[in-house]
Amino acid sequence: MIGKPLRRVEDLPLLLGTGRFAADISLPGQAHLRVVRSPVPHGMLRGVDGRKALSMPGVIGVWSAADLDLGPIGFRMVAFPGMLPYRQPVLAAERVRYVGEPVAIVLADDPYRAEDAADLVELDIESLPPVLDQLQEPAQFDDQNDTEALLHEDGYGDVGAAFAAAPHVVELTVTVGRHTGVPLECRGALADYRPGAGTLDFYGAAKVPHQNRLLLAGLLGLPPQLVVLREAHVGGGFGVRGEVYPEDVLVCWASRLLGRPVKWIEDRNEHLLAANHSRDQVHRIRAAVLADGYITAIDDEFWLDQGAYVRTHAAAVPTLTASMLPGPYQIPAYRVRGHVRLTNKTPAGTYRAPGRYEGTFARERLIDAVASSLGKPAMEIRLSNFISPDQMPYARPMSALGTDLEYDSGDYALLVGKAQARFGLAELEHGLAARRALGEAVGMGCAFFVEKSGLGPYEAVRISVDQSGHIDIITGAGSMGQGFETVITQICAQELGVRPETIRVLHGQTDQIEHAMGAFASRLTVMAGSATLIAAQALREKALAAAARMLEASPRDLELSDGAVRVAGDPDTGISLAQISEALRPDQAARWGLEPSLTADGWHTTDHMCYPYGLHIAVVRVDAGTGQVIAERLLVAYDVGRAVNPMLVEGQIVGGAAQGLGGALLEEFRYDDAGHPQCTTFMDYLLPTRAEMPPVDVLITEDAPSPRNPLGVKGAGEGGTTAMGAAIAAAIDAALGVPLGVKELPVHPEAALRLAKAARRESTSEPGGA
Amino acid sequence: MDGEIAALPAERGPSAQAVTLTINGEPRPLRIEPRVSLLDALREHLGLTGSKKGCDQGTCGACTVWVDGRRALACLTLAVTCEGHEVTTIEGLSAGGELHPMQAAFIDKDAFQCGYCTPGQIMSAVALLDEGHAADDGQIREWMSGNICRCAAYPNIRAAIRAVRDAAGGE
Amino acid sequence: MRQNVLRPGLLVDINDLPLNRVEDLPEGGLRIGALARMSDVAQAAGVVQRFPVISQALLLGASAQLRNMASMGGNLCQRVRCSYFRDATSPCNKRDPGSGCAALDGFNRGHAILGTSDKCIATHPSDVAVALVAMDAVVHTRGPADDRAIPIEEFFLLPGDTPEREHPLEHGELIVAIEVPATPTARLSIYLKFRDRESYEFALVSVAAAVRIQDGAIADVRLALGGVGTKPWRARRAEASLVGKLAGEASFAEAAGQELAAAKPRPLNAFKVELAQRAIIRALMTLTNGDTR
Repeated sequence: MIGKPLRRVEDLPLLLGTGRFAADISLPGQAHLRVVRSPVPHGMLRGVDGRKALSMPGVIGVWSAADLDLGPIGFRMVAFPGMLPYRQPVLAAERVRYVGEPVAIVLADDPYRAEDAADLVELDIESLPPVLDQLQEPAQFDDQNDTEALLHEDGYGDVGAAFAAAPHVVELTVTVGRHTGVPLECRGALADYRPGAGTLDFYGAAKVPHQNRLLLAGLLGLPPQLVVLREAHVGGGFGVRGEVYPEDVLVCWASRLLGRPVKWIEDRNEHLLAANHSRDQVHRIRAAVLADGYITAIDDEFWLDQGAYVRTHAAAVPTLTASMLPGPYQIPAYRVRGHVRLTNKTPAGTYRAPGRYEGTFARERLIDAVASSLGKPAMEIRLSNFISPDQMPYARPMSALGTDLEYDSGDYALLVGKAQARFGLAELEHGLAARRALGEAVGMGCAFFVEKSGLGPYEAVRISVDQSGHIDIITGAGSMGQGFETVITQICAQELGVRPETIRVLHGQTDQIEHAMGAFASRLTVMAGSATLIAAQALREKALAAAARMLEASPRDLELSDGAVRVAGDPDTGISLAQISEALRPDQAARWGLEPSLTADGWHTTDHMCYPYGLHIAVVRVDAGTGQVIAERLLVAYDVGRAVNPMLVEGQIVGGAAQGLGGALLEEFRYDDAGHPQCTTFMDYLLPTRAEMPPVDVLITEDAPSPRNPLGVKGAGEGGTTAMGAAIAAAIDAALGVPLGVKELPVHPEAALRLAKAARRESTSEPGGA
Repeated sequence: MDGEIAALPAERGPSAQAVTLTINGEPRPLRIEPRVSLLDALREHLGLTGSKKGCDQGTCGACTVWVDGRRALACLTLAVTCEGHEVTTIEGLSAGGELHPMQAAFIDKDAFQCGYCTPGQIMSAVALLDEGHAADDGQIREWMSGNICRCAAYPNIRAAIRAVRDAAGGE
Repeated sequence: MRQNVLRPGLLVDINDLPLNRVEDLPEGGLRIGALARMSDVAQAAGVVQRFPVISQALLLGASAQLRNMASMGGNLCQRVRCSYFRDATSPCNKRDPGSGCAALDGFNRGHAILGTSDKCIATHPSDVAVALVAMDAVVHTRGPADDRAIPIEEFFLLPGDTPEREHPLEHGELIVAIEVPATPTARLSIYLKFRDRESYEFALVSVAAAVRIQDGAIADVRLALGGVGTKPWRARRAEASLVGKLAGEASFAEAAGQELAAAKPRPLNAFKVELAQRAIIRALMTLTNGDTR
């Protein structure tokens, strides 16, 4: 069962149109909330006038910050005390800091009426000049603080000495644009506060329901156990969906105020203004290099455009950028300084491969620069700097997401070799060279990366078998549509020897299990999968113990297979799990000295992450006349330790590769010089369609199982994305014959056109008159 | 002009009006303002939440339904303009609980992850075959480009379409 | 309307009017009903065979679903894609005459370089209109008083000092049909579209081109540009430069250069000047079986 491409168990409702996404859920008597948002990027908020809105039919009320008694939204991840002043208020009080910032709310009996009325709320805002560039010197944020929310410094070794001694120093500045997850389902929330009972039910939770319950209960002053978060179907997460945003707090607050359910469904325009942006980093990076290409030190300084506030992720992105930047290479000395700077744009958070997409772009471009300056093939530079298998586990004296950075296992050169053989890279390059000779601008680019996955510290699973033999697996970890239920089902079905159809996976409901971390950081299969295995093992022991009583045999003589316990070698003695469940009623279980119910809990805890790795290869064609870059093929080789379901791993990698491609060529949130966002629809923020999606070949290897969990697995959610930007950049360089041409993502046609012209000037040695 | 106009219909709205739509072969009376989109009429007034709202601006394809058998975007269609026309949604595709071959192919080819765009993809894909626009991969790519999948299950959606096409063609 | 750009008091559903036919005219032209859907026009045999440029422009103009829904008359009347026009909080002379133009110094990468004024630089978004302009189409209208036949180049107005006025339709006047006159030149025609994304996006630059060669020289040529003009841009200077010349990259480049000499680019859309010239050259090279690269 494990290792097989089992068809997904969660598919049917999604195909029939009976899925229950947030907007599909309604409750009797619900009111509809609409958020009034700032139309200006920066200004002093002098007044909010809701009188006209209140006079509209169906309007229940209009509220602004003065009516709320709520603190700012707290941090969920790696935080430093110095970041506290930059938290986002639920509604802007004195100052608005980005276009789209919530300023007031309107409640009405119908969503159309709420929207009509919200348009009539008048805001009195005195505009201030916006800050729009993270490279600009820090400006004033408030009376006490400037706009540099964090200067994160880290590293190890003697960087100064390494540079002083190095025969070669290679330096470059690279930029990754502002883009983000953009799930196809917008956000949504439905809060149901019951006066009297004092309970609050929240529908539309995702990703981290248990963590969000603590944040929401804390903000509202409610006991966490009276707050129940319920995850529905989730139309894509990608890091963006499922954090606590102002709107989540507002529906809860309004439902408690009104004593009736309150629903809020985001529209696409709002989503592009209000949900977390990501990336947007500028790196100035240098390497100290020996004559043979060995890199003795990297020195990196980067500037991250955090947008207007620091949201729930706090310092997760800059610290991950810093700690993961050295990647697969030894790098004996390393220094990094990351400036987290606030601007008047939508706040930024995590997006698939956060910090690694950016850091990998900087590092792999640096490798290409080293190769170019030494006149060696880039892959040779990579191979001579790789951490070798005999150095594993490899500790880098830094931390990542609060854990010691220690790579668990890996054989990077082996993966390169396998990829070269499987994809026929030498022949591929040969073919491209032939096409170039005929005048086509085609090229191949490679980039290597290390991912991280399976963040702890824990995940819990409870497995119960009922009297019919049906199995429920309960976990607090959420599903964003990755096939999580299938993977958990496979692990349980294998361990218990039962058919997958008898299993149901319940997830993301905070009243069903006490503790959970959630669905992020490619941690589900590692953490919840391992917990499932452990719980299933415990359940098996319990079933054998009970069956031993029933069969009057020793547990050691029993075996569990095909959903039944038998005396080994005696196929006629089968007792089904259903019969065992029935037998374990409280009175009988007490007589046997067993806990009642055929139920078992499993925990997986860990202090370390596990580190999958991969090689991305892009083949692109540049239309040298128009600057259009067409990706012809993407190749991904990825070692996941062990693939529970290779079909689903491949789906994750292909989807991740598409998002990496989008960030390299299409996706970018642009602002004009006045701070107005220019990408507020899908006609301005361009997602890859199937026309831009080239064939993706995936090689999944299992050469370096993780020693840190009983399954040996590593996460696969982000490994399609991480190095795709770097690989495509290298491919464009190769196609145009301009070493280190691409220093900025995404590559728009006009940029490619400039490069193509530079290449022509180079090759014809004409004077470069414009 | 090419023909005669019988009689001018009366002005309606802006308040809610009685409208009868034909959805999946059934007459469905409802009261809606004339400005209500077909998508909102289906989802909010008729409880048919299978059609999804991804952008509400005609740019993602998640709300694809058929009007008189042709694929259309329910978010850009006013519900009142559908009086007298046949509307088919994902809920009307699988007769008697039996999966349509395209739905079965989507499972078999792992043609989706989060499933949010899936009803629109399926309505588009079935229409694509009826239109005869699935002859080769290039046609599938161009004629399905109005349906965005952020999980990027595109290669597998294409495989599902090919499988249904080839099965129907008896290959 | 969803974005509060337009707030009409009354909306009339004209979809059931009998104006959806695509007819072949006896002498080889076309009469396209105003309510004919883009998809039906694109697939009509007479269009595909005699006016490939129109069919191609339609297929590149929208997704399959939108092509099923959008009418030809509606396509001609679609509003501009300028983000400031669509953001009801920004000044815009087109939406709110006299309020100013935020695009002049704003994010204007997608904006026009031809036919601009200091009141408006928004690009006309239609693809098929570019093809129709190249084909000398005529817009037939019916108003309360009379019927009119408006040559399509006059149907689209330059912004000048009145960018709020985009076409000469009077109150109560409706497009009923678009007629395309017969021309042998159209058989050798093409629509090329360059954009950030390969599918389903508005053009950075597009070109509708048709050419007829006689005895090695250009006897007739039609060129129109999309994505660069405040209206679908008939490239008459380029056409004039080409007639009588030998077909080839040199004459094409010279003509393209002459057309774009009038361009008024802004820093963010300056790349369009060169891109438009390359597009013209490529379209003509493709039609005349030259090297397309």
